[in-house]
Amino acid sequence: MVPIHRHPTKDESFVILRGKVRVTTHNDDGSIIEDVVLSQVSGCYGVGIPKGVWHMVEALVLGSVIFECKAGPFVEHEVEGVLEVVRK
Amino acid sequence: MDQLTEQAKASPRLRMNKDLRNNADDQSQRMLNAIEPGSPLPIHRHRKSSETVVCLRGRLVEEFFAEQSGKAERYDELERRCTEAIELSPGGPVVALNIPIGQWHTVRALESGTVIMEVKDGPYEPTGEEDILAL
Repeated sequence: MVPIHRHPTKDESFVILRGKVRVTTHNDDGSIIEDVVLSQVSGCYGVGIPKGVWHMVEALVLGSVIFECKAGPFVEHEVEGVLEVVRK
Repeated sequence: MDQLTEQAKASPRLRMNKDLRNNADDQSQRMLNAIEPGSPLPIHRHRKSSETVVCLRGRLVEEFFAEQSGKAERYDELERRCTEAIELSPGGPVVALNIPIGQWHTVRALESGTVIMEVKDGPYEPTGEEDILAL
């Protein structure tokens, strides 16, 4: 599971290559905006995450592989923090 | 993707792309491309970016062609020799590949319904005449 994070300057695309993953986008309070499951079987192959939007990726089966791409050169730690959500 | 494949079948080029960019100012290119068997795609190259191809559906073969030897601008002297032919399919041994910057290449769909995702660096620029191999 990748914690909820966001990239301030880059959109990001995910495409599922193998397995099944859940991608969620979040409001500042951690509540879910959108919740999609990517798998080649379901036909839902990919998502685009706009820059600045909190998001998370969770593998649902072993062996899952996604292809990620962002524009421009690699920027180290181009992550604007991790969203800490208080679970109630 | 079914819709894109239907559009590809109806197109004289037997392929149809769907632009996934936000707008024309995007500093990278992302698109879906539905390619049907028999779609004529001349051997071409991209001199400003490598290209990543992911096979989402169907089956296709990416073919690389020999670099011209010597005179850099005399593309008509390019040896039309296929140096590599790589089959891509979602469940197969090769799902995706990277086409190096400047590499002459083409693609042939082996199955109807084939759809790929293509990713390139930099804003969109049409491929110049000197980058398409006239056969």
